[in-house]
Parts: sequence; C-alpha cells; structure tokens
Amino acid sequence: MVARWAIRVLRGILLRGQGRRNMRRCYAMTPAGGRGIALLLLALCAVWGVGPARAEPLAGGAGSYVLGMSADFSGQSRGLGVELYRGSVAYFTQLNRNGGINGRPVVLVTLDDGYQPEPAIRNTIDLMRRGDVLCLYGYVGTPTVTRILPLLGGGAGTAKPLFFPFTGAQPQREPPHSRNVFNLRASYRQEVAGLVDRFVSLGRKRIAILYQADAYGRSGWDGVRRALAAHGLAMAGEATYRRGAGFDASMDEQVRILARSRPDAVIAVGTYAPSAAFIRDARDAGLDVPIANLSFVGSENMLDLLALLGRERGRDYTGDLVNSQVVPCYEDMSLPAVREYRRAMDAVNPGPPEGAGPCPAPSRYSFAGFEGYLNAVVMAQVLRVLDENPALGLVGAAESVREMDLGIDVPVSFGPDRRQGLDRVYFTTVEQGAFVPVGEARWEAWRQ
Amino acid sequence: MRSLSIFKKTGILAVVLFGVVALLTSALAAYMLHDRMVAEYVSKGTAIAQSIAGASQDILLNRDAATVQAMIDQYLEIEGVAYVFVRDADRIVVSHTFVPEMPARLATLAEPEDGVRVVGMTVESLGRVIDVGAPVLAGVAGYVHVGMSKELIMRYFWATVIRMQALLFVALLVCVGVLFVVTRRISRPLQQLTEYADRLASRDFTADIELTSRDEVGHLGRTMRAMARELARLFTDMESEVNKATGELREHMVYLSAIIDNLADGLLVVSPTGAVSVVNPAMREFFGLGDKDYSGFSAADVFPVEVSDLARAIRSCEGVIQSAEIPLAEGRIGMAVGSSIMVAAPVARCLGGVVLVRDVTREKALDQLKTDFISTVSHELRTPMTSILGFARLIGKKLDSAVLPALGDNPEARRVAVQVADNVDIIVTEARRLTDLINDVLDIAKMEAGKIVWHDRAVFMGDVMHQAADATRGLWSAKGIEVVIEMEDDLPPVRGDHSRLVQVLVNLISNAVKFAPRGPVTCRAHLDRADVLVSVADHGPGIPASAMDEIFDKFKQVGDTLTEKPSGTGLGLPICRQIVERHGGRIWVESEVGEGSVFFFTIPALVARAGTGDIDDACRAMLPEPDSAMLMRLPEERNLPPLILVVDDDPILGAYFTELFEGNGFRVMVAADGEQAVVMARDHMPSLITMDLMMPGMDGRTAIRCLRHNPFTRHIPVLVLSALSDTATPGCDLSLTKPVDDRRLVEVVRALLLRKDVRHSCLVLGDLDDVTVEGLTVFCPDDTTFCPPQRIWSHVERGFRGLVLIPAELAEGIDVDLLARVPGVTVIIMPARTGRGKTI
Repeated sequence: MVARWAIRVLRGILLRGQGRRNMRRCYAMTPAGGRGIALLLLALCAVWGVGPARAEPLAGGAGSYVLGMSADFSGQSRGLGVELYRGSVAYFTQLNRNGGINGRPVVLVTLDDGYQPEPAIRNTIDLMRRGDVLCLYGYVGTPTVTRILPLLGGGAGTAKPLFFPFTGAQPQREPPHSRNVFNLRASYRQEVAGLVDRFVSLGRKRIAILYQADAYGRSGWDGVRRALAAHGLAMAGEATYRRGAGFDASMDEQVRILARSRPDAVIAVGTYAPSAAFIRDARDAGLDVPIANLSFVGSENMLDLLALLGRERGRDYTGDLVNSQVVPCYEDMSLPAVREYRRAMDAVNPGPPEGAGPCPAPSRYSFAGFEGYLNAVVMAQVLRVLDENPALGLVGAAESVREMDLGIDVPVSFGPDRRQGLDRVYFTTVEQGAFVPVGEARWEAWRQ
Repeated sequence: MRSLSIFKKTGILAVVLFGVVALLTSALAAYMLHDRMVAEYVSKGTAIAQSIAGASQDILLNRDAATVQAMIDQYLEIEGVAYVFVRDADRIVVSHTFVPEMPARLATLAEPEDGVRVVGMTVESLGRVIDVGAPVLAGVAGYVHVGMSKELIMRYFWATVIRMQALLFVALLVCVGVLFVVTRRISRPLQQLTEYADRLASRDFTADIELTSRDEVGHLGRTMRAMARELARLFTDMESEVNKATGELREHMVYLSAIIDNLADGLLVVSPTGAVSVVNPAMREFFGLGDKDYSGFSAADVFPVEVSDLARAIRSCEGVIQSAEIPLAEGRIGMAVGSSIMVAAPVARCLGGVVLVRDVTREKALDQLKTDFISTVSHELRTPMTSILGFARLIGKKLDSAVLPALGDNPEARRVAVQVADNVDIIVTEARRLTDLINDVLDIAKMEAGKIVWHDRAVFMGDVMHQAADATRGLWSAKGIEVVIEMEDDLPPVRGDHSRLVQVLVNLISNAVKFAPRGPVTCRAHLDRADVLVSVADHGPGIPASAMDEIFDKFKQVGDTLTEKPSGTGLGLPICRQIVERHGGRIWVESEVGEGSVFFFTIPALVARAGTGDIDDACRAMLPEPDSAMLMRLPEERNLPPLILVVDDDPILGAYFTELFEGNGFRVMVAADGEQAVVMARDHMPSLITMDLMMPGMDGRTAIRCLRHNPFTRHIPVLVLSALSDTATPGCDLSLTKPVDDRRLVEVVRALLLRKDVRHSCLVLGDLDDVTVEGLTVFCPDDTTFCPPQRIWSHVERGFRGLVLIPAELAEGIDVDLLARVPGVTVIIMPARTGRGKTI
C-alpha cells in the first residue's frame, strides 16, 4: 500500500501540467496490488494519458465488458461520485472474482469531470470514440448529464447508451433522449412530489425552495412547482445559490430571502456542502422549519459536516431534517440487498478512484454507495442477458429486463417505453447522528 | 532663481497642453470604446437572445425547465452576460440565472410584443444592464431575456482611460526628461550669455564668456563678445575725447572768466527771475560789494534801486537796450547799459539780462571842464564883443549925428568920415557875425555836452513854420524871395521844444534864402507814417553829392571859405542835426547841382494817448529813454531858497499860489498840466510839488505815478491840492482839499519840506561824544544811526537817504560835495562844540 500511494503522488506531480479539466485518471482495482502491475499501469497512463481500470488481470483480454464512467471525483460533489464508484466497484469486483459474465470480466473506466458540463462533454466524447467501451455508466449530476445527452445518439462516433446516471432530472427520462438512457432511480419530480405531498398533508402548505442555479436546481424547482400546482398551491419563496459554493460560503442572504416568505417548510435542491451551509445559517438565523434535501445531496457527507460543526459550536444542527432517498436505507437490514451490499463493501472495501480529490474518509456505507451497488447489480444482469443473447444488442438486452428482484422489495423492469427502473421514494431523517427512515410518529411531530 | 525662465514656462505650458491633449484623447478613445461596446453588447445580447429563442421552442413547449436552464447556463459563461431568464407563455419565469433571487425590477419587466426589444436599466445588485428581450415563437412558447452588464463596459471604459492615462503619463515623463536634458543644454549657455550681458550692461567690460557651442547661441555669444570689445574701445575713446573736450572747455572757461574778471567795466548778469548770476570784480568794486558770493540773490537786495530797475527791465527780454546814469561808490558816476540775453537756437528763449557799468566819472569831469571852458570863453568873448559892438554902433551913430553935419561941406573930410562910417559898419557886421558864432558855438557845445534845457511839450509844426517864416522875413523880403508854407490838414503835433524846432527851420530857411538867387523857398510839412516830415526846398546852386555828408559837420560850408567870404558861422546845420536827432528824428538833404536843394527832417508824431492807458508807456514817452541828457540834473543851486512847483490848470490859481509862496520866501514855478509838471520836475528838481488832480491832458494821479516812477523825481514830496473830496491818491505825501487856508497851506509846505530833509532818518558820523545832540531830536525824531566816517559810503550805497550830520572836524576827510549830490541825501556839517550848524 505504501508503494501504491507513493506512485499516486508521483503521478500527480507528473500530470499536474496537463490541467485539471483534462486530467484523465485510471485506477487498477487490485485489492492488494502488485508493484509490477502498478508500474505498468503508471507507464501506460503516462504515455497515453488514459488507462483502463481492470477488475482482474485476466480482464485485459478482448472479451471484457468495459463501462465508461465520467463523474465528479474532485468537485463539490466528489463525495457522491466516489461513493457511487465504490458501491459499483464493490459489486463488480466480487462479480469478476466469481468469473465475471460467463468468464468475461466487467471493467469500469473512470474519468473525472468535476461536476462541470464542459469536462463532462469532453470525457464523453473520449469514451464514445474508444472502441473498447461498451457503454456509458454511472454519470453524476444533472448539469453534466443533461449536456451530454445529445452525444449519445452517435454524433461523436458509435451510439452508446448511458446506464443509470446519478440524477433525477427529467430530460433523460423523456423523449428524445430517453431512448439512449436507462435510469434506475426515481426522478426528482417524484422525490419532491413525495416531499411536497407529505408536507401539505401535514399542514405545511407554505413551501419555499432553495435550489442550485443550474439544471439540477431547476429540475427540483420544476418538481416542486408541479407538485404544489397539483395541490393548487404556489411556492412561498425561492432562492438560488451558485453551483460550486462550499461549506464556508455564507447563505445568510438566501436565508433572509426565504425567511421573508415565512415558509412552513424548505426544500433544498443542492449538493451537500451548500446545503449544509444553508442549514447552518438558517438555524443560526432562527429559521427552524423542517428542511428537506433530495437524494442527490449526498446525505452522509452533509451529515458529517453538520455533525462536525455541531461539535465545534456545541449545537445540534441535525434536527428537523428530511432527506428523500431513491434507495432504501442501508441500515434496513431486513432487505437482502442491504445485507449483500454491506457484505460486499466489507469484503472489498474499495478505495476512491485514483486522482480523486481529498475527501472525508470514505464512508463505510452510504446511500450513494448503495445506489452504485444496485446500479452494478442491474448492469450485470443486463450484460448477462447480452452475453447470452448478443443479437438483442445492449439496448434490447436492457429492455428485456422485467420484474427483476433486487432484494429491496421492489422489482425492476425496463422496456421500450420504460426507461426508469424504480419509482419509490424513501424519506430519512437524522437521529442519534445517523440517517434513519422517518417514522409516522416523526411525521406527526411536524404537523401543524 | 530670479523667475521662471522661458524654458520653464514653455515646459509647463507643454506639460499642461500635453495633459489636456492626453485627457481629451483618452476620453475620446474611451468614449468611442464605450459606444462601440454598448453597440457590441446589444448585438451580442440580441444574438444570444435569438439563439436561445430559436433553440428553446420545443423545450419550452414541453415545459422542461431544467433543459432550458441547462441551455441558458451555457450563455451565462459568455463575457458580458449578466443574466438570462426565460418566461413561458404564461409569463412565468421558468428559468433564470440569478443568485440568490431574481431582482424585482426584472420580475416585473414588460414583454416585447414583437421582435427584439432593448432596454437599458439599473438593476439592484447588478448595476446598469442592457436587457435584450426576444419572444420565443412570437411569444407562444415564451420569452427570453438576456442582460448585458453595462458595469462591465464601464469597467472596460475606466480601465481604458486609466491605461491610456498611465501610458501617456509615462510618455510625458519621458518627454519631460528628454526636454529637460535638451533645455538644460540650451539654457545653460543662454544663462551664461544673460549673465554676461548683465555685466556688460553694468559696464564691466572685463567680463568674458566661455563659448564652446557652435550653434546659434555660440554665434550670439561670439557676436556679443565682439560687441563688448567694440564698446569697450568706444568707451575708452569717448572718455579720452570727453577729457580732452572738458580740458579745452575748462581752459576756455578760465579764459572767459579771466576776461570777465579783468573787464574794466562792471558786469552783472541776472537770470529771468531777477537773481544775480554773475558779478565781476569791477562791478563789486563799483558798488563796494566786497568778496561775498551774491549768486542767487535778488538783484534788488544787492544793488541800488537804479541798477535793479534796469535789471528788471531787461531780464524778461522785451528787446530793449536800456541805459542809465547811476551813482557809484565813492561818489563816482557810472553809465549802465543793460541788454537782454536771447538765445535763438535751438529754441528761442530768454536767459535774463546783462548790465554793463562803465565808470564815467572822468568823462563827466572832462565834460564839465569843457562846458566850463566854453562858458568862460564865451563869456569872456561876449563881454568885449558887446563893448565892441556897442561902441561901434555908438561911433556910427555919432558919426551920422555929430561928425557928418559938423564937417559941413569939406569934401575931403566928408569922404574920410563916410569911409570911417563904412569901416564902422564893417566892424558892426563882423562883430555881429562873431557874436552869432559865439552863440552858435555855445549852443552846440551845450547840446553836445547835454547841458541844454529842453522845454518839451506838444508842438504843432504849422506854428513852428509860420514863426520861422516870420523870424526870417527880414532876410527874404529884402532879397525879394517868397517863402511858401504848405501843410497837410490835421497834422498831428510832435513832442518837442518849440523854440528849438523854430531854430531848426529858421536855420534852414535862412540858408535857402542865403544861397538861392531866386524864389520861392517852399516849406512843406506832412505826415510820413509815424513821423512828421518837414522839407525846405530852394532853387539855389545845389550841393554836390560829395559834400552832402559833410554839410552837417561842424564848421563845414559848401565852397572854399578861404576864397569866398563866409556868409555864416558854419554851425547852423550841425545845430539842426543836434536838435532833430535829440527829438528822435533825422535830417538829410537831397540836391541837384544847378537845380536846387531840399532839406528834410522828421520828428516823431505825437500820438494822442487815451486817458490813463499804459502809465509806464505814457511816462516813458514823456521821459524818453535812453537819453542820458534827459537824466542830467542841473547843478544844485544850494544857496537858493526851496523851489516849489505849482501844478494847476487854472492860471488865476497859479498866480495866486505864486504870490503866496513867493511872499513866504520860496521860489515858484507853475505847470499847467501833468505832462508839463513831470517834465519840469525832472528838469528843475523842485523841492516840493503842489498838484491839482483834475487837469486836461495828463491828470494829477498819472503825473504822480510818473514822478514816482522816475528815480530822479520819486523823492520829491507831493502835496495834492484838489477840489475833489476823494483825495486818496496813491503816491502823494499829503493832500488838502480846496479851498485851502493860506497859513495852513504854508505850514504844511514847510512841514513837508522839513520832513523831506529828514524823511528817512539821520546818520551821524562819529561817536556820540563828538556830536552835539542838542537840537538833534528836532531833525531826527525817531531814527538816528551813528557810524564811523569811513562807513558812510556803504550806507549810502545800501540806499540810505536822509540827513547826514557831519561834525566839522570830520568834514575834511569826506567828499562832502559828492555826498551832497546823492539824491535824497542832505548833508549838515555841524560846527565844533561852540559853533552852530550850517546847512550846505
């Protein structure tokens, strides 16, 4: 391990001159790692600037299934990207160890886009032009994904579908792009509609929204608007923040704007750092209504920040929070998938992809990681179908997945007209410093 | 530094101009940039808006806000885009890029009805923006708004201004530096040149200048150096020339000064203001002035009144040469001639006057000797001549009355007797001729000596001619020659001595009758300009031209006196000339041999003067100057009683006064008018004048002024006797109103005469001890001065007039006679203690 970290540092120095946006990173998913292989990979990375990440040494053969992943490993949402990656890698590693897909390993190639559209587009073009990449997989972020959608049709080479992007935005769920995209998670509309329905049913009708000033934020905003419209309501207030804001950014202005509308509840459509900053400033300003966050926020990272702050200031910032999720809580051990996920994570304990920016110590488990794991499970099933019946093609293989049991009580189905595998939304809140499902008693406590 | 040099001024001006130009240039550039950028931003915003509008139609219709947001986010990255927002057809904002919220100003922005609309506005938190609104699908799908930041333009604007200013400032600094260096190189030699020129200006020709440059400045410096050398040379030359000229001038001055100092005549120069400027030693000596410097003193303070009057008359350059006889120190008599100093060039101006005084004491003495000699000789000749003539006539008569009848018929005796009678006749004729000769000689001698008394008054030439014709009737009627008198009407009178003018004409007529073989002799008188011209024409033999000039000389007659019997004294014409010239006229002859001669003479016509015009002129006309003869005084007849001049136009009153005064022991003369009074006073120096005021011709007041004006008569006391109640008459000593009481009049006259004697004061020679003061107070009631004998003259010269008391012991050492002649001075020689006073 010592040697591998040293090599990482060396590579960082060597690649620094190429600029952050164009930096390509590769990662060998070797559990222990051999010095020779690591050196070989280093040489490859240095010469071509890109290297395939391989689950197994034998995966370098022509028969492996290569998935291209561009996600945020260095930006403000890097926690999501890294966790998503780790969850997927945990599954694929176990899969490859057990012989892969009929002997063919699954290889995950990662590129960092820093949650910025332009690098995401460049990364996507690179991946589309690479002949060995079968499809795109596990993209993170609405502003990035919505921008690369036009590329999927084959404009930059062969058409390659995108599987299971980590975003609940609407464009990839609707024509024309929906034919090239398969989503597993529920949409933001579904998430916010669930939140709005709940709050309205609790008598909290004045709902304000804080959202990121981009397509992601707009998706959430749109969802809230539609959900409120369904109840004949309108937004009590709205405020934006600029994408890229950190935890140290002040959200006082946004708090003031929203407090002015005297909301019963606030729905935040953001990433974990600014959301945590907003919660901090809102609580400091005395705005103590329930604050809801979407799944994309990166719940664990947000909780870490707030817990740390709470410890510093001697105040609890984690009260009255609701986080909607698109996967069940990973603490719910009654679900087989949860048990398998935790077992795989414990067994593999994957590290972050190489070149990932500094981030809090990788969570042991996380919602994003669990989602990544579930993504990998469904992906493996699609690849199996493809491997068994290549004539279907990848899209056909995906569309043939019906009533697949993931072990989360909800089956997954795709079809020519169904491009979203799951629809359920889960609500969690913080208790005892950890996320737990929101119980009915808890909901009743927020009624007014 | 003394002041800003021309370079500094130019430099500052250049910097200021540069600054202004720089400011204007950068302002213009920035303004153009601003203008251009605004236009650019508007077109950019329009392009973006239209681009979004074109691309978002489907999406908007699908109500996919996230995709719209993804699209507009891209445009936000374009420079200058401040915001983008999109409204749907319901005009609800479905996407925007504002953080933290959409400004209210934009939320209420109206939508463009058709086409693109550009609106400039100021939005909170964004500043000034240009909003470009464009409808999507003509507003059916929605509207797009793109905000272009005007603040950015302003930032560019100011950045441009600042950069340009900085650049220009640097350029300016460089230029100033270069200019400074260049200017220093130019101005240092100029500074040196200026200092050099300053030293030259202060005439320091030893200054030099170091010249290295070969440019215009160097050339100028070399030229200046050459000029300085030339100047130095010129100065040296000039200095030596001036020294030379000064030396010559000084020498000349010394020469002139020596001449003036050594003049035998006294010289006095007065300035136009009357101040003394030059007095030569002779002058000092004449007036006993000593060695004191009198420059700048008023002439009246230094010299006797006669000299100062003369000086006053000439100093103002009225163009008259004045002369007067004046008393000098030590009893001498001087002849003063004054003339003005006129400078014609470059500008005519008056420098004052110069008075020359000549000591004529000797000439006077000689003159006196001559007069005395002639008087004596004439008297000594006349007396025997009277006897000769008388006895000759007696013999002739006796011959006729006694001898001839007694002879009876003795033819021999009768013949002898007749012969004797003829001889006696010859003696009578020659004796008479000799007597005439003596009279004429005496006359001419008196005239030449100026010792004749002229009785000037208005004379009518007609009277003169008739009187002369009558006087010569014996001559011309005997010879059968007619004398014709022709005279112009209204011929003005002349001023002159009537009998003397008759004498002139008698002489001329006598000559004409004497020489002319036939008649008539024509006398004509007419006015010729300002003169009365008189001519006497005859038909005699004429006078050759060569003799014309000689006939007026003494003892000259035409013809040979040796071969021809002289028919006259030969003094007639010289006497005529003397008389005519004395009257201010001239005499001459025009003749043609064989045809006759015409004698002419002119006398200035007397122009009647109105009232009391110019007194000085009137007086001057009566006392014509210069004529020393007019100022001559008769020797004082000291032992005669005082002479009183009675002036009155009434002859009865005149007779009365004459009788009254003569009855009181005075001598009396009577004048009928002012003119006559003035003339008589001057000629006879009366001791007192009684003056009537209302008189024909010159009245009494004018006469008094004239008397007071004349230095010789001003001391005479005047008693005004007038019927006028207002008798306040300037110049008179006392006045009485007619009718006057006899006794009072005589008392007043005596008092005035006494006061005249002691009028000013008394001067007593010697100490108080030497003088008997008894009775002194009678003469000297108030003012008595004692002085040593040798100082008497200085007192007199300083203007002392009054009584001089001289003890008999001291009288020997003083020229009492001379002292007594000083006008206004009366000398009393006091006897020794036991003697009594004697008036001289």
